[in-house]
Parts: sequence; structure tokens; C-alpha cells
Amino acid sequence: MEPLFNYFFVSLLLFAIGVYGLISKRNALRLLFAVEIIINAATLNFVAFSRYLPTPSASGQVFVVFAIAFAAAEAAAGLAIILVAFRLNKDVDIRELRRLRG
Amino acid sequence: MVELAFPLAPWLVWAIPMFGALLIPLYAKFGDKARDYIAVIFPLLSAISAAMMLPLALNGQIFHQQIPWITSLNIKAGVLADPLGVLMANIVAWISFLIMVYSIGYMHGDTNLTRYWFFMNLFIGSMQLIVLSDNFLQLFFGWEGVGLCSYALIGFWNKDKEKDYVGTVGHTAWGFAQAYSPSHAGMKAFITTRVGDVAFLIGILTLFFYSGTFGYTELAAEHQWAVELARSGLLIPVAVLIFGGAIGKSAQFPLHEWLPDAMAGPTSVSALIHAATMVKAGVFLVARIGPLFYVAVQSAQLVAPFFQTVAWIGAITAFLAASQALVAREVKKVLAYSTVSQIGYMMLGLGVAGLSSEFVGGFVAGFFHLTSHAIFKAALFMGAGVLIHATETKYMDEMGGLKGGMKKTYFAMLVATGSLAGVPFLSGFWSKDAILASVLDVGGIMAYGLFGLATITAIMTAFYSFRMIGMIFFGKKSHHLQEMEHHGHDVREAPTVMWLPIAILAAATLTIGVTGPFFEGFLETAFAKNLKELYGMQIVEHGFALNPIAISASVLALVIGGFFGYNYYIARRSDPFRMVQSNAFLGGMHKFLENRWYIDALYYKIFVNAPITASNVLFKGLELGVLDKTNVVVSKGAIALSAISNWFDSNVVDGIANGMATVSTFVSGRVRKIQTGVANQYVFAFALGIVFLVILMLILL
Repeated sequence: MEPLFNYFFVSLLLFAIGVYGLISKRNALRLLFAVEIIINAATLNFVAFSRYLPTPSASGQVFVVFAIAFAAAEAAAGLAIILVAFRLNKDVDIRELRRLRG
Repeated sequence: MVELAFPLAPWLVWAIPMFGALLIPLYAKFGDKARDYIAVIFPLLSAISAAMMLPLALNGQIFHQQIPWITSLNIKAGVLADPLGVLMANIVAWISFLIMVYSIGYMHGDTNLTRYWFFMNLFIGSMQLIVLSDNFLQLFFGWEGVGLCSYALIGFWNKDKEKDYVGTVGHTAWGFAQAYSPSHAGMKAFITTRVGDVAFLIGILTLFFYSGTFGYTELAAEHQWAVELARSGLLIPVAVLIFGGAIGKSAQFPLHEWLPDAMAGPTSVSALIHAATMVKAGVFLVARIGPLFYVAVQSAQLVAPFFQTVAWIGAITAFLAASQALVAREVKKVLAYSTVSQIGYMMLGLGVAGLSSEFVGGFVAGFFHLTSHAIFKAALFMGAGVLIHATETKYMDEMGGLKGGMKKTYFAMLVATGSLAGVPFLSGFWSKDAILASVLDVGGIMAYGLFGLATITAIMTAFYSFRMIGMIFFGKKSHHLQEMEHHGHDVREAPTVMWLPIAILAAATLTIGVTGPFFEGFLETAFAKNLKELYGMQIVEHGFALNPIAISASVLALVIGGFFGYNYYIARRSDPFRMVQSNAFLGGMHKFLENRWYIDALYYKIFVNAPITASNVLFKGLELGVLDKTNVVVSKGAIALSAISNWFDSNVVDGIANGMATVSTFVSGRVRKIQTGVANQYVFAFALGIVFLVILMLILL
């Protein structure tokens, strides 16, 4: 069980970095990077768990391939939104993008 | 049973026009030309499929195919292509196709043609569904489809312009206007036939309740249902209820009043309704159920009342409608009344079939007349359409003297009208004669009554046929035509696309006329096999034989009716108009017939005006007298009460409401501050929440 915790630790670290990025950064692009880091933290868990199953299987890795593909798609959509936001505001600072504020 | 070279044909016959109709709006996107030609291709494909089934009819074989439909009730859908169905399908298909070709010319330049083609195709498809279905339920779907399409097409010119009205505007009977707008006429057709449809539905559901099946072959194979129906005394009511559907669709007395007004639709639609679809559906239904009830009972005596009903309704309708055709002013109305009258003949033939010892005679006569009538009536209607286009009027008294200018139309209409009048060696002569002969075969007082009615009708038929030809083609040109020519609008012959279908049908009338006895013999052989195989009927074939009494009666009728018609309208020896005006009796008769025996007005009085009057009485008595007064008292009380509650409202309720509003404004003012709109802060709150949850879990576990 020892090695599994190592993976957890790295994963947790990545997650924390991602969340820190989300909390502290204003640039929308940086936020997108932060999200990618969080996704990587999660996929790392998948691989680790499936490797250390009583009967190790490759399903975790297959899952991760999918997750990466979806993350790429999501990044593309996110970038498109940011691009549009930039055209509208000449800026990607999300503090300026708060028209939906209550 | 039998193999068919192309087993899908009976399905395609109705499926192609029905589903093709759905494609027409699509093709309309490619332009009007593409749409018009595609719309004609569907009936052509359907007709070719129908022709593929013809070997069945020639050999007297039956093709029957079923697929599961409503499995929980063990109801199956299927096609039954027996000689009756196959011949009927071919008549419908080919005449419809010719009418569709004619429509290209006739409807040219009209707007909303997508709607026209859609409903015409659906109309043909529904009719073929009726013809080829193997059970009552499937037939009912086609039945309703036909009803819907007739409504939509009769009211096709739904702008209700006065020139599209049917009847003479301003003419009244008992204070009821006798001219109807197209949309009114469509509604009238729909509602009137609906009365019959409800009866039909009750009939087949009762039949299903007793037999557990809708299929003809199942009903014919096993007769326990008839025994049980007869035991509970429902056999005749059920048969008559199903016949009620036929009365509505085929415009028989007492539901005949919709058909003359259906002339409000385009002439091509009238041709389709009268020759191929709709009114023929009723006759076909009787041809389907007649043998079924005939063989299902132990002795023919049990179902005799049903066949008597059919025969008498047919004979009465034939007489009633022919008498009204004598005075009609519009060319299409003459044809409409004559259709009602000729359908009456067919019903008479099918009715006496069940009364005679050998079923096949009247059956063949009825169907033979259906065939010949379909052909010559389609030709007549299309000819009338050409005339209406050329002369820009629908009234016969505004035509006249057209023989020289429109030779092709004249000859085609002459042949078709001759067939209608029963001129020897034309198709109508043989078929009408076959009906008269089969009436005489029954024997007895009743048969002579029916025969008398039929003969008088034949006299009137000959008279109005001559009258129509005379008024349109002979005599001097009317003021209307002279004025048109004065303005440079000469009367012109129709384009090829319009006169070619008429010529084909006129040629078919001549062909059947020349080969009449042979054709009748062929029908008898085919139907004898059909009835034997499908219903297990014992048939003795007699072959073709002329009945001297029937033939002399029909020739005599032609001579008498023709003599008067020729005298007044072709030779123009005396002016019938002046005769009617000077003679009080004739004048009264004329008015009586022109007002349709006042049956139409009576229906309006009972079924349209009476409910309106009743609701007016209710409105005045109950609504104004009782309810309104109660309302006043109640409302005064209510005003007093509300003064009290007003005080309560403004002081107590408002206080509470305002107080709550103030509190919630205050709270929400505070709460909205959380919604900063900054994503970072939201994520931060989210992360805090997770940390909080993790701590909570650690503590609890």
C-alpha cells in the first residue's frame, strides 16, 4: 500500500496547485491552465488505483486517455470563449467580466 | 393462396400516393414545374402497380397477405387483392391518373398548388387503401382519409370569393340562401358524411364485439358471429349501420345533400370525387359487405330486409336526384345530381343481388355500372371544366352554340352523355340494362315498384342529358358569350394536356360500349370465381342474356326522354322557359325541384337553425332572465362585503405584506453582496467548503 500513497501525495499537490491558481489568478488563460492541472491530478489517481487493484487492469489508463481527449476538447471550448471575451472587452481579466453579478 | 409476380404491388398501390403526398412540399422547393410533374408521377406509379395485379382478376384468383398490426387484440393489417379489389383498384388508379394529368392544365396558374397536389395524392392513396384493405378497421382509416381530403379539396378556394360560390347567389328557399361558399360546402360535406361514418363505426365495432375480428376472410370463413347477431336481433341493424357509412360517402338519400354543393371545389376535384374516389367508396363497401352477410346466415330470408333497404334507398335516390337534375342551371350541378342518381342505380343493383336466388347477377350489374359510370362521368366533368375555362361561366344558360368552336370537347361530351342517357351500344346502355334486368329477376310486387322507379329515372336521365348537350352546344350564343367575343376573348379549345385525358376516356366508353356483352361476361366469370372462392357461395353462371322487357323499357325511356329533350333544347321548337313561366303547375314543379324538394332547407331548419334558435332561447331566458338577475343581487352583496374586506385589506393584510416585503428587501440587499461575480472568490468558497467537509468527515469517523 505504501507506493499508492506516494501517488496520492503527488496528486494532492497538483490539485492544490490548481486550486491555488484558480483562487489567486485573474488572467482567464491562467485559470484554464489551473483547470488542466486539476484534471491531471484526477487522472493520476485513476492510473494509480487501477495499477494497484488486486488484479491490476488497464482500464484506468484507458479512462485517462479519454479524460485527456475531453480535457483537450474542453480547453478548445474554453479558449474560444476567452477569445470572444477578449474581442468584446480588450482584456481577459475575469474581474472585469462580471456582468452577471447579483 | 396465390403467388403474385410482384407481391408488393397491392401495398404499393396505396402506399405510393399516400406517402408521395408527404414529399410534395419538399419537391415544391425545386420550383412549380418539378412539383406539378412529380405529383402526377405518384398516381402513375400507383396505376402501374395496380395493372400488375390484373392477372389475378383475369384468372379469378385471390391474393391475400397479412402482417401483424395490433397484436394485443390479434388485429392484422393486410391486403386482399381479389377480382373485385383488383378491378376497382385499376379503375380508380387509371382514372385518377388521367384526372391528375388534366389538373396540370386545369389548375395552371392557381396559387397554393402544393396544397392541391398534396391532398389529391392523399385522396387517391386513401381510396386505394379502402379498396385493397382486407379488414374493416384498415378500411376505416382510408375512409376517414377520403373524408378529410374531400373537405380540404371542396373548400380548396378558401378565400370564399363570390365567383367561387356554388349555386345562384341571392336565391333562397324558405329564407335559406341556396348559394354556398367553398369553405361552407367543404364543411357541409365533412359533417354530412360524418353522420354516416359514426353509424359505420358503431356497426363495425359491434361486429368486432361479436366476431372478434375485422377481417373479411375471417368473417367469411366462420359464421358463428352471424348466428349470435341474429339471436340478439342485431344482424339487420348492424348491416344497416355499416351501410349508413356507404349512404354518407356515396351521397345517398337521406345524406345526399352535400354532393351538389361539393361542386364549389375545382372541377378536377369534382371529377375525382365523382368518378374515382369518395362516392365510389360507398358502392365498393356495399359490394364488400353484401356477399359477407348473404352467406353468413342460414337462409337468405334473414338478411332480406338489409338488401331491401339498399335497393329502395338506391331507387329512391336515383329518382330524387334525377328529378333535380332536370332544372339545374349550372353544368356541374347537372353532373352532380346525375352522379347521385347513377350511384343510386348501382346501389339498386347491389341490393337486388341479395334478393335474387343467384347473387352474381345484380352484383355484376352494380359493378359494371360503376365501371362505365366512372369512365364517362370523369370525361363529362373534365369536359365541363374545359367549358367553364373557355366560356368563363359555370351556367349553362350563359353558354350555347359552342358546337362549332369546340369540336373535340363536343364529340367527347356527346359520347359520354350518350352513355349516361343509355344510348344503345355505349357503355352506360349495357350496364343500366343489366341493372334493370337483375331487378326484374327478383320478381314480386316489390321488384315491379323498383323497376318502375328505375325506368322513370331513366326517362328523366335521357331528358336532362339532352337538355345539357342542347343548352351548351346548340342554339344561339348567349349574351355573355357575344360580349366576350366583342371584347376579343374568343372561345378556344383546351390545350392537349386537358383534352387528351377526355379523349382517352371517351374512347374507353366507346370500346366498352362495343364490347359490352363480352365485358359483362368477363365480369361475371371473374366475380363468380371470386364469390365462390372467398365466400364459398354456390354460383350458377348464366352467361350474357338480354332481358327483352328490360331492354325495351330502357330504349323506350331513352326515346321518351330524348324526344322532349331534343324538342326543347336541340331543335328549340318551343321555349321551355316561357312554358314554365306561363303554366302555374309547371312553375310550381320547377320551383320545388330547383329548391331540391326543400330537403336541403329542411335540414338547415332542423340541424342548423334549430340548435341556434334553441341556444338563443336559452340565452334570452336563462342567461338574461335568471342568471343575469342573480348576478345583480349577488354583486350588490359582494360590493357590501368587499367594503368590509377592503378595510381589513388595507390595514391588516397590507401591513403584513409590506412588513414582509421590507424584511426581505433588507435581507436580499445583504445577500446579494455575496454574488461578487469574481470567479476566484467562488473557487475559494468552494475550496473552503471541501476543506470543511473533509474536516467534518474526519471528526465524524
